[in-house]
Amino acid sequence: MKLLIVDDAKLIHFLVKKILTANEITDIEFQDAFDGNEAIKIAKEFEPDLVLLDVVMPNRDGIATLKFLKAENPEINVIMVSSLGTEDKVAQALKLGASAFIQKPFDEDELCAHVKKSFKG
Amino acid sequence: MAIKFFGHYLLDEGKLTNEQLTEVVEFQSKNNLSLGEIAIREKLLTKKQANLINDKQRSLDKRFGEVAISLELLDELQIEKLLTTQRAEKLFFGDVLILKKMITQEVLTKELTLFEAQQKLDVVELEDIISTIDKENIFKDAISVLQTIYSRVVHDYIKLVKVEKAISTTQGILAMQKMRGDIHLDFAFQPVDPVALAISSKYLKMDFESVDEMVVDIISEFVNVVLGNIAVKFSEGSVKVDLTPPVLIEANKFDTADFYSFDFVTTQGELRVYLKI
Repeated sequence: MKLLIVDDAKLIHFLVKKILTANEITDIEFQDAFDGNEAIKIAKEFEPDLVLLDVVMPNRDGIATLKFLKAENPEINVIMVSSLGTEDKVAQALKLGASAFIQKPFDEDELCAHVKKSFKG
Repeated sequence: MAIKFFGHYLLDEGKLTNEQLTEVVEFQSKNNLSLGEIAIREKLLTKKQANLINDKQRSLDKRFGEVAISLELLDELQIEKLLTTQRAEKLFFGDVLILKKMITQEVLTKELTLFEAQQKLDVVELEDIISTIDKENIFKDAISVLQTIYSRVVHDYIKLVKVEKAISTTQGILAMQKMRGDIHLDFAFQPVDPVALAISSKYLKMDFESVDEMVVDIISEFVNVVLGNIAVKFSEGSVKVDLTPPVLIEANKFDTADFYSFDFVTTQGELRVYLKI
């Protein structure tokens, strides 16, 4: 399984990998992107099964990135992971095709449940 | 005007020395057992089971009892008994002062009465200041969200002790983020190093001994989480806002003009938040 983590905070990349490994969700090939533009570039070549996408990022924010990723590949599975879970952002993300919106700070079980569900799907 | 712990009040009043204060806090921390420790002592749980509950409790942000019941390691009656034992055995600050003969019962009663009266006055004064500088409760909501997120992430006590027009910065990492849209709010966060380390250790569930690049990254992300959740609270009132990514600022280059500083105390040390509408 291929997982692309898109967040400008390095610690989120570290934390997600740590949580998934500790919960025995293994056999994952990870790729990191630290802004929207980088995510779009990497997604083209990496072809991830799941993208964990932050909203507040430099260069291109998560909502604009989601729009682009979905336009390029409508089947791409994207879960938004952000602190900015305002009603309008969540509604916008879901309308654009995100499969879920996880509000930071997230707990381990919530993240693992979403990742497992995505990989099974 | 400042709200303090009872221990700090006694220190300022000259009734206690710094060494005595440390001795009392350490004694409390060593002797006031957690529910898990009492359960092990009472042979209701093994150490391994108690650790499992503690780990789950931290990641799920739930009470010890709730997790123990959901894992079917303890039942409700056992939890109730453990809580009763914990309450009965708990040593309060004043109890330790008496036990260690640092103060007499008579002086303790008198000082507690004076301290409580002073604290009530201070709370009213702080609320008055905040409502004077912020008619729309933006600061009040921001502070409330910060306290909730801090308690949830660090599992620690946090209390607002001072509000004033910002004059100068203190030492430590200073991370700042801006909210734009229907509400304009600038939010800068400056914890002392022990608080920054406590946030980092709890965030990643690993020990940090000094402020390194990862700690700085965690503090930036913590600010992002706090401001995001403040935005969520505002959005309940149909307010639409966006956030800029957090940035780090050198404390001596931070322009405090038009900012208010909010000082908090935690058991790890102080932290300061600068807010500007």
